[in-house]
Amino acid sequence: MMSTLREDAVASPGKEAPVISFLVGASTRVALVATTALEIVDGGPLTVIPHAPGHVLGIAQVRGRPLPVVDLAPFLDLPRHDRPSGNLSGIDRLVVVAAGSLEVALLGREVHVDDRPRVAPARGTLPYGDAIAEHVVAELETARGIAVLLDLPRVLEAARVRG
Amino acid sequence: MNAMHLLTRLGDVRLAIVASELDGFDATWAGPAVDLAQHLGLEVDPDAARRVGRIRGSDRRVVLGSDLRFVAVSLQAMHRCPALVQDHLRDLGIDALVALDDGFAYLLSLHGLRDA
Repeated sequence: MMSTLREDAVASPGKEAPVISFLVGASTRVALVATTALEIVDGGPLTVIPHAPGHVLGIAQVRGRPLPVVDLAPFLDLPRHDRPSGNLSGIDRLVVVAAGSLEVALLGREVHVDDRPRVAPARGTLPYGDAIAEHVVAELETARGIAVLLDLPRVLEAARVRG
Repeated sequence: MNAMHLLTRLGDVRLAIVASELDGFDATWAGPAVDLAQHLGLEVDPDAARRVGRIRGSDRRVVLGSDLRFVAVSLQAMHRCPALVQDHLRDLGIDALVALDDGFAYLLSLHGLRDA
């Protein structure tokens, strides 16, 4: 499925900021403004959350505090990466991010920081589904390939599990 | 200061209940009782032995999970539920998390079950 960029989706040239990018699902590289990332930690035991939606894998203990672990692949309807359910695998990393009152550990692989990523030439359409399109700020050319820069506050607010 | 809590397992989930909210146990109980597994919508081993707890100050009983044990919980081990899932957990009657050596238990208040 193809989707179009948000009207405000194209970042202005010259406004590139350091980003942290990582693989989500099978092969989609997503990027976040680096200042939103607090730390990167290895995965560990997960505490299952009863009746949580599929994108919330559980609660991990990060430096003694509980953080919900979110897999953006099912939430953004991206192709999945085969991984066993339950605890995280050895290649899974947790990118701890914060926006407002929401602090979350995002599941990722092959985490990389780019100091000066370039904004990729605008394409009229994106090769992603509708679920991700509304959260995309721009496409970036990183050292690890094209990454979609996400609007983190918007993503986390949408991922919040309502009562 | 540590407070005694009862830990119990319901399938993949561990619950913590403040011990003073309970007034003892029964091995069996023929009267009405709130099954915590049903209350939380959790699947449990139908063959697992499950004791019945008496809620202090109430005629109500609760069917607990398996692996009952009492632990002393410090204030440092108590955590607020993360904001992303706070509303969801609150709807289940879960107020906080208790950090254990290998994960978290959900602190369940029996207060809302007294008149359930």
